[in-house]
Amino acid sequence: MAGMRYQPQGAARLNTLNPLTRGMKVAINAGSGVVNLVNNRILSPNAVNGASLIPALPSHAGLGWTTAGRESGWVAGSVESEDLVGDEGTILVMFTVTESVGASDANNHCLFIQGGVNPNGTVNQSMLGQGIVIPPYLNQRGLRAQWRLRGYNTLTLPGVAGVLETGQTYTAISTYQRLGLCELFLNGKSIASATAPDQPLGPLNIGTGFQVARSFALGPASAVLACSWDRKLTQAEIDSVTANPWQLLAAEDDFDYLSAAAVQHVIAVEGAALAVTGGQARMRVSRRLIVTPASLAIAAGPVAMRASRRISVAPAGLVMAAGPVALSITRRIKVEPAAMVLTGGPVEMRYGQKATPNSYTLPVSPAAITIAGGEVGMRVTRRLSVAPAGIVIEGQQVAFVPGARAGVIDASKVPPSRTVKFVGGQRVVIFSGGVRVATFNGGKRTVRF
Amino acid sequence: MGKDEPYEKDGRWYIDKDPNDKLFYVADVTQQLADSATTAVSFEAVPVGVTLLEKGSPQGELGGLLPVKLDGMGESGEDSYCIFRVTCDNGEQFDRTIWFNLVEN
Repeated sequence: MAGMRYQPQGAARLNTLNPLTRGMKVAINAGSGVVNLVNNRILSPNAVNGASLIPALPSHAGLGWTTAGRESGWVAGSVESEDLVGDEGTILVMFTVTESVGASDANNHCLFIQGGVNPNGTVNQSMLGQGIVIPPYLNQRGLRAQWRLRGYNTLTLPGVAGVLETGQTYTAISTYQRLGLCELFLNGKSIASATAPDQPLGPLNIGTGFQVARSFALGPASAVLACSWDRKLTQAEIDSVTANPWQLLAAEDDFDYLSAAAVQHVIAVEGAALAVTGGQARMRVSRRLIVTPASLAIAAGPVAMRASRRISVAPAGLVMAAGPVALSITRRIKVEPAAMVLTGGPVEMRYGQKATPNSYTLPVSPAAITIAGGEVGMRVTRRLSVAPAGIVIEGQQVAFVPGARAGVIDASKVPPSRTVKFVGGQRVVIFSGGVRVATFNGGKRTVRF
Repeated sequence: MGKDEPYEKDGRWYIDKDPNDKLFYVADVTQQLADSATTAVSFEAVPVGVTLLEKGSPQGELGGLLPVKLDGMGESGEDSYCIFRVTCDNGEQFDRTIWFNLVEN
């Protein structure tokens, strides 16, 4: 599992191998929709106060929720309250300042994320709890941090003006520690602080989006990532996460089954089933994958499976069932004796990428291949053996395109990796007096014995 | 030299091969034919530890490209190779051998 270097688009998940994710309670990536990636809980739009679901729009740091030119609205969840309760915590907001910082937005929009949302759905300045309010604070290209404490008390750090520039991307982090220091960091540097009281953080509903902040004069910005922890990050952690906030997330559901060493190039899943499920699932197999005796099941919305090495699923089956399904295989796939079933809306099965004379077989015996869906495409450029069962392809649009076979070996198409160039050595020369062994001698026709 | 390329070891030329690969392999003897100022008329493929599926005819410049299609190979530790026995237009003959190293792809 590798951390991301850029904003994931679509489904994403935490990079749990990164210790920075320890204690993380909320992670919202605008590129992934309004979902808490820590628990994959979808945050429903709250209809109170004219709220609406806010689409993520492009910014120079990726997709983000922006106030620019939008009607008021916000998105809130109301079930995370207790997750953020404790004696310490951290909030991170990665945002961009899109344009005209310092200018008033006609609707006085204020972008917040992780903001405290009143359980009844109303949002106003006084109800902003744990959160970072961005920009520009008080019309001065600034921001501030705020923490809601048990009992609805609020600790608000002094607003910091004049620190934001148009066209820049910032990472703002605020930390809280009961009876300790509460700080606001901008790009890793502490810009505001206060001593926290002897109070724990209070229950809070999380929200993301923006609000009509009536007492503010605000300009547009775009929030691309928001996270919170139930612990106070250290300075070293703040420096690290500031350097690349996307390291907190792993690639979208992307399963890399790679053997650690090139010993056997085999990944064996025995006794149990290998299941890949999710909103968007993508499975990439670049080593041999053996799933036995259970089945390999991939079920989700959009599903893509790409295999460039042998896949052996026996005796159970390979099942891909979802909306759009794509199966791309460039090596042998063995599904025996069970069935390989691809069902879904648009279904595409691509077997083999290059129409070279090489022959990879696709034995499916004795079960059947069934590909069924609204749109079905199956392209085979290698040998396909299905016996004694059959191939069933059914759908509204069906295309079955077997690859052409040359019939005559074309040596020029054999790759260099399988061509040995011999130089020198010996030869047998037959002449009238008998047979002699000679070495190749650079083109000289005369052979002396 | 990378594993994906043929490599010479102890005077033998090796290619990594998965036992289940059914692939084409080529012995390129163009240089030897040029050295003898002749062309390849035909060749025989003698498989040991592998199975000969198809044998092509000499192709390319001077007929120096000798393609075969091979399947399988012996268990680990057993020698697997294919001898290319070339007959030249001038009557000369020579053998060249491609050895196979068992790998799992």
